[in-house]
Amino acid sequence: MKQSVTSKIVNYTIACLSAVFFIFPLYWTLVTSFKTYKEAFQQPPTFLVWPNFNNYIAFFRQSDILLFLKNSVVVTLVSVIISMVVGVIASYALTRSRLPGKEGFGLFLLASRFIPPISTLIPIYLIFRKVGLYDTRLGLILLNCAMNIPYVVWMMRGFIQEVPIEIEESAWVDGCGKLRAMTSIVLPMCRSGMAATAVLIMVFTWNEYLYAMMMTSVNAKTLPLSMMNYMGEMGIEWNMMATAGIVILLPTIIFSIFTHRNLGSGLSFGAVKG
Amino acid sequence: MMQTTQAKPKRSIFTQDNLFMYGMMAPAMIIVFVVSIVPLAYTFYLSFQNYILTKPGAIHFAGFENFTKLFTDSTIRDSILHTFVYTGASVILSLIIGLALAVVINNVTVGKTFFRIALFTPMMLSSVVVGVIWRFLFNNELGVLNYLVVFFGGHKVNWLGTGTMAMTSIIIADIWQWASYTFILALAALEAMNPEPLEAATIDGANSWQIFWSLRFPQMLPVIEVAAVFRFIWAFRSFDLIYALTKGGPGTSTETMALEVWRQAFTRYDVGTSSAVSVLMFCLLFLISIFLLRNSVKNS
Repeated sequence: MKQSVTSKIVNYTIACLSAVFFIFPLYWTLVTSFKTYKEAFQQPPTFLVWPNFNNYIAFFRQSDILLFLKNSVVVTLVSVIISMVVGVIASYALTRSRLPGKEGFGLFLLASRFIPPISTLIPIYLIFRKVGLYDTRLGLILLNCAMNIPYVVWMMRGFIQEVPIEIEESAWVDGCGKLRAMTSIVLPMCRSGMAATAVLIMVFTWNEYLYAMMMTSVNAKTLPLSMMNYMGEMGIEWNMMATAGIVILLPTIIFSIFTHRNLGSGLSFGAVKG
Repeated sequence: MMQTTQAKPKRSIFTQDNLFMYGMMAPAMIIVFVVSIVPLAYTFYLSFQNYILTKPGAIHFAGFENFTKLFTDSTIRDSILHTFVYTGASVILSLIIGLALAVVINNVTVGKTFFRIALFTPMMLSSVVVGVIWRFLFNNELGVLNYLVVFFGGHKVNWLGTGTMAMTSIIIADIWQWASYTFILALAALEAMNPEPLEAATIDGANSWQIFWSLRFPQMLPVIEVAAVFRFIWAFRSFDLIYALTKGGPGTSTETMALEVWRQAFTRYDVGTSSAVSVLMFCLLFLISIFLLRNSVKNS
């Protein structure tokens, strides 16, 4: 479509201004992470600094930080794998079968997404204390799975529905079992949908804060909790806070850069179809 | 007489096929049931108990005592109001802004990928980190926002210092993070649109405003609906961002129901009241979501 020059100017002006609005907070965090404690408080502030990785070295030298990092990686990876396997097969069964009561199961999963995480926090805290899941990675994995699985089921429904059922039916006629038909025909055709779903729940799990904060004390703390180390009695160490922030954000920013196209269409497809 | 065995195959629901399908659903159902539904039921139970965390063993049935507090305790009452103000403002504004940005970026050709990434990334980020970043930006003395405001000739703004301003600041940070959700959904819908009717309309002399309302907007409506529902659910139960930005302060002026649940339980150790707020929160969220989703549920 042809655009007039004025509308082009308006479009680009809005685009650039909004890009500044959305990037500046992240840029400012990055700049702050290169500053010393004093420089972070300096007025007027400096907007350009030479990259200086001392804060990052200090951050990773903390005695417990590698444990936090390991916990985050383990909890995220295991939760994503379990949620994807469990969620995808459940989604397949919900989409492709004519089971009696299947709508009920679908609604049950949908309804469980309305539960605010905070409203089950106290019971889970009390139960975890009793059964020994408090402050364990397994506990966090279970909680994240329970939050992710309904999401996976719901998103994958749309993608599985898109695969024409005739392909599977001809495979069944040829003597291919239900399970094989699913794993070797349907799922490969939903590859990009599965990738988008997996990336999204990976990001959710990596960012999860509330349960990580309340259900851990020493052993199972995850990386997002490391930020609060710098909110001490004597004020906030903004430069270190920014450093921790960048470390926590970096994996998700990288994911966003490399998967934005796939994720965008996957999100809208999953949302509208599901 | 010979019994004919050519009766119809049994219509039991326990055919091998069905059992296999139930088996595939079972793990998902069990995990969600045990880790989400059982604790929720427990919360309902606790909401009828008088239970102070520091006095273990002193649990006793309290009837509706905790629920009457929802209306008599002014902090709780205010938290309900704050939840609706925050949710309403951030959902409506992030929808409008996300939609507008999608239309703008869809018309951009140079650097489109850059703009897409820049505007999409915030929703991928940890809300706690986003809250802390904005807390730094909003800081009264050393915050860069006030520096810029003064630099351009304005007066320092007390971003997080007063109740109304703190709520506004939270909503700004929330929009920063979540406009991206509507943006990316709407942009995908716009890009998937067939350009021919648009070109035809342009040739017929329609202006871009008319084209938007009569051609583009109706096609984006399903996406907007979905975005509205999910934004509503997320905002209504949002905890991380507010916790990191203000912890409900100053005073209790930005305390939403989610923070009130947390405060009652973990600073006042009043599990009964906290659970009653939880129950109210869940019921409101459930009823409003069902109301918003009624069309799409009917269709599927």
